[in-house]
Amino acid sequence: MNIEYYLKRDYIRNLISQGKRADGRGLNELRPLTITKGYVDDKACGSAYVKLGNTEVIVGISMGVGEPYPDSPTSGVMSTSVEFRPIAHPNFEAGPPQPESIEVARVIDRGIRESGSIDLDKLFIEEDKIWLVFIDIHILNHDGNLIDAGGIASIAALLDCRMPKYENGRPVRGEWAGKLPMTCTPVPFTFGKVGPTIIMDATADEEYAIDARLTVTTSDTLNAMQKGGTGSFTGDEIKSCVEQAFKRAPPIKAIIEG
Amino acid sequence: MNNLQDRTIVLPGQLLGEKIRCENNCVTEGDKSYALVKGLARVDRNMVSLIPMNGPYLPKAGDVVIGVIDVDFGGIYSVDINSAYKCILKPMREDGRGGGRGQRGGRGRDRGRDEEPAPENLKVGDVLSAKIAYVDEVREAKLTGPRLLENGCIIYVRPLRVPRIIGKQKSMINIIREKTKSNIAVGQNGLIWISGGNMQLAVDAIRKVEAEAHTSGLTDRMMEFLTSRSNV
Amino acid sequence: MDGRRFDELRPIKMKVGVLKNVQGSAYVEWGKNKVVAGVFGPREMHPKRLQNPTEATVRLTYNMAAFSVDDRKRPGPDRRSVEISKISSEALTGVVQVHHYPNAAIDVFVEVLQADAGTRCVGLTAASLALADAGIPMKDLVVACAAGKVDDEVVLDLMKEEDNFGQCDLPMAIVPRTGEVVLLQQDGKLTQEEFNKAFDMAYQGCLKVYELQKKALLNGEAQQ
Repeated sequence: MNIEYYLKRDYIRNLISQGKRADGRGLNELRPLTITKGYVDDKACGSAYVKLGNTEVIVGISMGVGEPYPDSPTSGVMSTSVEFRPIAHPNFEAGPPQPESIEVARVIDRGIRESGSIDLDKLFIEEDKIWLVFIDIHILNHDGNLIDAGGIASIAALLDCRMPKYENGRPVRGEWAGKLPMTCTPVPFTFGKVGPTIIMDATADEEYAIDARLTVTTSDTLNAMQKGGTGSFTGDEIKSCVEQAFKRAPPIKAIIEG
Repeated sequence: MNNLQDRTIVLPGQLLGEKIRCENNCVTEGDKSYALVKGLARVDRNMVSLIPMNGPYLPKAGDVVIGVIDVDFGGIYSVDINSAYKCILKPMREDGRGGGRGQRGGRGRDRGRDEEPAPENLKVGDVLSAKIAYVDEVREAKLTGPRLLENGCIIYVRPLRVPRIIGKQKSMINIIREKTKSNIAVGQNGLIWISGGNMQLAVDAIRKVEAEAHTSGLTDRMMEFLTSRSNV
Repeated sequence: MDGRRFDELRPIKMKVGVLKNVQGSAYVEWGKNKVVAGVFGPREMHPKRLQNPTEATVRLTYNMAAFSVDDRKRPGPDRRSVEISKISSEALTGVVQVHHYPNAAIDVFVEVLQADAGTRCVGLTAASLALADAGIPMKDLVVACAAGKVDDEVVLDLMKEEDNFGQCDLPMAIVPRTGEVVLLQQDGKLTQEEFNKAFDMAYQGCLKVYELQKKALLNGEAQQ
């Protein structure tokens, strides 16, 4: 129902121009975050359920055996996909991934890949055989900031992930041999621009009012950035967002690793 | 004959009684009547009426609803009221002409208001409140008496909670209006428009009534809640 | 195989009203299955040419998450999911009072987060709870349960290992108040006598789950 866009946009823009937010948060304040690792631990190698405010996301990690890319014959392969399930929001339709969900998947993927957080070199099995790591993000309830919620859930699920036992050329389901080798914990932060004001962790309503967004993913270095939306950022705004991202990462990192 | 206690919560498929009269949300097969939804059963001798806990809004003649214009057919507008069913608005022109059909099902004493000229320059995206003049057999509603609602915000509540939010003789909504000094328009379809005054308090108050609608002593609690928050 | 009696159900937990953006919802854990169901509707039906002017169309979409099974399942509907969606929609259509809402659509989405045999039964049971939570009028709840045959023995509610090595699978859904069977499938080898035994066992299993559904709707959650 596109009624939502008309109803919320002006009200939210007015509030934010006064420095206020509909739920009373500060412009840079995040909503309460809870992470439950191993939410579906029977079939998935690793999993995590994340609640960020009312946004709910579940990520499952599946592992399989496959062929390496020709240019990196001893490295494992990772792949990230996002499903905007219809139950998450009345505007989500069942069907092949739309550009919005593909962008979310690729932005989350970039943060994980570029930081080298999965130690892909340790995923070599034998000649022409490496481990495939599938990160599948299932959005259960959309109340904004799917990139950060999905990204945080993905890392938590990866940290939770067990390596399947490997015997006679195949993975043995239901039996495990250690954990997925991880090197660091990348944390994404998405900044939204409403007029001249920048907010963090937008709700679904606030996303109707946002002109442009910037996702910054950091570990000990800056690993991935993505600007989205039809508006624009100034150079200073971007630098300030990057600084914020580095500053705000440690407590989130602690929750993810905890 | 029925053994159902007044104020029992019933589930779909539950037997309400035999040889009773049941008003709505129930089905009678032979002598027996069964509930169709989860709800509160009010029993009065041989009559059972079922108040559903949840359910969609269905347009009804006489209801005031709030909606957004989503299509402009050149003078005739389709209004989205967040229901499975569309509403059509055919505003009257200044000279009182225009709008082909008469008002079937409208109440006589409202005729003055229904024939008020519509605001000019209605466009897609405009938020308005209007009254449902009548509903046809495929549940499409014809609207009349549109009033443009500008600025403010709209929240959505479960349509079935609207009567509690309005209160007996508008008692509840008037307390909220008074204490927040906000303009509030309530649509039977569950959309509520709030503008001016302490909007955040109005939203919080309405959400509180929505959440606690089935409890007793709510009016007093709301009075207390609003008074404490509005003096801050 | 897991120490249960032949006619014993796996442990079940149900919760109603778990999602915020839908009209009604439910979450069911049944054995190792974890399934969530959400309902939108009645709402405007698209595509318009499929609208039915005399009644609403009930559409259940069954979907398995990629990580719900041992070997990752590619996202998107496969033929099995399409078939399950179809027969589940048909099971519900007989029970939902569709003539109340001409031209509209009632959309039910079943998401399997973790699968361990019998997901179509868990899904339909959860869908029924979600519909009741949404206030959609139904002549009764729909409840589903499966029976099967393992090692020549007729048993109730197969778990995955039993399903993999089993000789027959018989999922079934009923309308308890009227005794109507609205979903039934069978694959494998059964003698007529074994079928009668399996049918009765599944039917009784359904009735037990029905009691749990009612408790869950009244109290918000239930478990056995």
